Amino acid sequence: MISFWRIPGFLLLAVVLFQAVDNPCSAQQQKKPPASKIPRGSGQINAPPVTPVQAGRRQAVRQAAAEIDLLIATLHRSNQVTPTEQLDDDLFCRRAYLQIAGRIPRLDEINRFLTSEDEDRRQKLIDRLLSSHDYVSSMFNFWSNLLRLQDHPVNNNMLAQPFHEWIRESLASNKPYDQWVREMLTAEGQIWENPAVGYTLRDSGMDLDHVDNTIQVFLGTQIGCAQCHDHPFDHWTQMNFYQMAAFTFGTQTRAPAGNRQRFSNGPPLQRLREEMKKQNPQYNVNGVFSRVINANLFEVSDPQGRRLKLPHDYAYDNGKPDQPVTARPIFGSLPEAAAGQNPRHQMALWLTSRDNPRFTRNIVNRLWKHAFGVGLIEPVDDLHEDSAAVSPELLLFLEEELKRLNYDIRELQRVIYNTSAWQRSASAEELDPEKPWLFPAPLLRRMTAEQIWDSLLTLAVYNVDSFTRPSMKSLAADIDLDLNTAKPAEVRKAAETFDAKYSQAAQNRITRQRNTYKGKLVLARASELPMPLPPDHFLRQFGQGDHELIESSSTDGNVAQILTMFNGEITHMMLEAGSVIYDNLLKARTVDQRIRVIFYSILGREPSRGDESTAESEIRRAGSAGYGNVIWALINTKEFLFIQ
Amino acid sequence: MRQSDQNPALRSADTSKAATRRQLLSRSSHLFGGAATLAGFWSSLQAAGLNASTSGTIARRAAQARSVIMIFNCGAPGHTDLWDMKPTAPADIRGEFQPIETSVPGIQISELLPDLAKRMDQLSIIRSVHHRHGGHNSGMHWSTVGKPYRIDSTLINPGPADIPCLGTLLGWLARRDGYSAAVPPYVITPAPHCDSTKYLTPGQFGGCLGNRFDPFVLNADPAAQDFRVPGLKLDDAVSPDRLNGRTSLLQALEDRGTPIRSDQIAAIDEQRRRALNMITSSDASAAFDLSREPDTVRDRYGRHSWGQSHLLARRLIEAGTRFVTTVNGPSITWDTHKDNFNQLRNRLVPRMQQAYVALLDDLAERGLLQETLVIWMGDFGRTPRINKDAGRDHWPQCYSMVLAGGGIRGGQVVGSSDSIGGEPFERPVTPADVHATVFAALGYQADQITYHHADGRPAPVCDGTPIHELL
Repeated sequence: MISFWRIPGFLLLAVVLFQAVDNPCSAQQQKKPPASKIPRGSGQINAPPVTPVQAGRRQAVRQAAAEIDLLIATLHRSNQVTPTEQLDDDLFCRRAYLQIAGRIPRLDEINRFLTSEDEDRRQKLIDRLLSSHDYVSSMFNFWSNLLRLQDHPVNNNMLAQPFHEWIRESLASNKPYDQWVREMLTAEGQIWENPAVGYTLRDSGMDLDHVDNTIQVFLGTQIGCAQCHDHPFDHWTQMNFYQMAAFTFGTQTRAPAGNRQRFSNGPPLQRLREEMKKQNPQYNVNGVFSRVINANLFEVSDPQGRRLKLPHDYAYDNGKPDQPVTARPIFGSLPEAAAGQNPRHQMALWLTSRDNPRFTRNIVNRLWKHAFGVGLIEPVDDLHEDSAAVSPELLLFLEEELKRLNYDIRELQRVIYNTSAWQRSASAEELDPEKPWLFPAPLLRRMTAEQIWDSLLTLAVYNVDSFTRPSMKSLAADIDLDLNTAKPAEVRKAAETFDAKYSQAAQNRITRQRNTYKGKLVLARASELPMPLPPDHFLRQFGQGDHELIESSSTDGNVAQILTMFNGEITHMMLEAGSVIYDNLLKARTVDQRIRVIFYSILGREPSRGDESTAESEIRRAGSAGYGNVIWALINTKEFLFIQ
Repeated sequence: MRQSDQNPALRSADTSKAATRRQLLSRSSHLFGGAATLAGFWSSLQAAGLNASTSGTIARRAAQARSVIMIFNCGAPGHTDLWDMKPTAPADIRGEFQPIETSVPGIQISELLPDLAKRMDQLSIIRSVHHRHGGHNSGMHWSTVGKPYRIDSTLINPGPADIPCLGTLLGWLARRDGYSAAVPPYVITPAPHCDSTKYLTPGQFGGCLGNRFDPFVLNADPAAQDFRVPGLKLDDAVSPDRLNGRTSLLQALEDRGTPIRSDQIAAIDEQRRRALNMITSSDASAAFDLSREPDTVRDRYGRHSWGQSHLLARRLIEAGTRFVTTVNGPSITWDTHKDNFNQLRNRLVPRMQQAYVALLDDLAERGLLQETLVIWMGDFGRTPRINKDAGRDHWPQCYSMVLAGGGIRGGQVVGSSDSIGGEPFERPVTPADVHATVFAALGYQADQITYHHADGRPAPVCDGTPIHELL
């Protein structure tokens, strides 16, 4: 017996019949909203369209999934592992939404899926979800945790949101992964003209850490220890680290303000502040005036000349302190195409090459872990030459498949989600770190902070996807300056525009009017909120990281989380008129039907008999308040928080 | 009879598993808020452990001190720049700061600490503390647990086999002795001490005692304008009765299922119980409500997270809490490898001193200083010799801790360091000796009270020797 709350899977929500329509928002939109404090989205989503997966590849996807299942079956046979059973449709639906869309399904979505008689309904649901804005949102969370995305990394003058928009666009257009990484690693210019520079700007001023981070994220390899000494558990030497770091050491993240050739009129910040003060001594040149100048100074370029040297206390025989270092990859060799390119391009070509085994292995292993909760090699960010996968054949197959798919990682996810292995009920077994996980099933996992938040919003807010962050698209037109020739008046105008349209205050103004509950709680998907959030925000409480370090998130529980779920704003909102679940409840007529609405909405399943009688007696006892109590109780269950 | 004693094999096997499971599953996750992935049955085994050492109940005598506030300066302040000046040492050792006289003739401390110098009669400085871990987290472990960690590294994290720190042990003892206040017995504010959010110091959570002895971690900025502990205050529309009704309903709905045996799932039940206690008590929400303090008091402590954490510590102690760690962070903010002197002078010491002095004065004015022991420490000391970046590096060989209140005899210096602050010179003191002093001040005979390590071995709560000069 695997599932903890066992439910036979078939049902029709006869009462609450939402029409299955292509735009899931429109059905809701047509209802006239009753007066409510809960803001509603318009139904329009101000985000780039998502390239749909190719329906024509369904057969190929099934075949690849079957091959994975064969490899898993071999693994099970040779280790006498009994896999868990396949999920019923209702729990499959919940798992697919949480995994791919990053939230639980809405009642109308559940209804549509469970009433479908299409034999391919599972595959089609996977396809539809992979082609949705939800997928972009959920993968954005995945990447923001890995790439440590912050709105203002390094300091407040750096405006990184265009980079974040670019990541969303890349996900929406399903840009090949290797190309995407190459673009980040090689981008030049200012963030509003080439947003991919945000990757390099994230570590502005931290040249050596930047190399360490890049190798960890994209090659799953830790070389950080070798920054200060030969790696104790691996064969990287301090020399290797420095040689690797030499590729990007020449890269600059700020325009050279003191360079007379570039700025013949003098250092721009100083010059413009002085000129402004002369014109208007009262004007405050410290605030946003300086900020737009500083923001304009952030640019990524590769001037030649800056060379990395060994540290002054270099202690090994293979080099001397302060000796200049020549760039060399930590393993393998530069591809031929790299000849004659600048060092950063060379590094990018080497790193993203098909012939770099760890480039492919790293992403395949991370995506597998994303799906199953455990990587084929653990830990995923510490691959070694002799790291053994639990099934080397499976790992190899996935690597080859990703190459065949030309690094279309979404397509690889499509294959993985179509396997029987992934569609099994979560394991009742716990991971024993002494033993490899042999994939009898995906691990039982608590939802991530983002999944919990987005799921609660799904229960409470109509068209929450409409609440996207204000776009930075016009940033270039509004604040781009030619810093050598700019006049104070231009800077002042740019500063005023910045204040009015892009500053944190401006963004707060927009959200306050549009999507704030009780003037405080900003209602938007986790992927559309500022980063990092303050430590007492719901998302941080439930384990969203501060994005200071790679994968800083956690799914551990604590007392503070319980306090918030018991008694927080978002729980109160759920129980108010105008919340999605409240309205759906009212649409149902009988107590029975209402109880079903609650169970399906929150847990994605039918109430068992026992559930029904417990809920009924509560409602008999407490009257209409009883419905609220049942909703409250269900969102506080462990079943809600965990993905079976 | 402890169930765990009946089956030690099961016990040790299971904890080691849980320890590495955590590592494997969430290498990057952290334990903010006393989170834990402890086996549920493990904590139920531990519940029995509460009554484990019958000798413990008699191992307490009347004492002046009732509670402890530990000011933890995360990242390690330099001892020779603050408490243990070396004015006659060469310039590359003595640094930029001069010693000044204090209210106790013959005792000098740094010119950075004029306000503390005026209160020297309340303070006792131990200048010969030493240990051997140079990594931040392992160093903080040794300072707060009184024992080395299994490796000397900063890239370590709390786990269910951890040896508990002083705060965890005092919270555990409080519960043993029938702790009944509405506020948690052991609180960390604003956040655990750590190398970074990714690597937290082991020992400050329940560790081998079980996650029910985790501290309550504030994990919010008490200096924020709208600071409150989220969810602590019951909404007006929900009466305590209704909340109770709801939780019974929740219980009824959950009891029906066949729960999977999972560490994480089991931990939730205990967290739920704690949360309910806090919500239903008005004392608890009042204690955490800093807006009840007059502006003058809030200003006196300083409107920054250090100051307001100290103030919160005082409120919690008044409400019954036994141990509060106020972390002067975030992360290793005192880690002045570069530009040590300017950082101390401008960024670090003023806030630290303001909060520390306000706490001492406020406690004294309220008559609480006699029963509240205030202990000041960091991970370790910093190198006597100044490095090329005008910084000082890690130095566990010799550093200072400072005690006040709780019946501790003030106005003293215990032990001394050599001419450069490099090694203890007279009367070397270990962190465990300092802990033993705290236990003694609280009336515990630490060598008579035992708890059990994860592998079932019994151990005294402290194996140090109390510093008799202070008692």
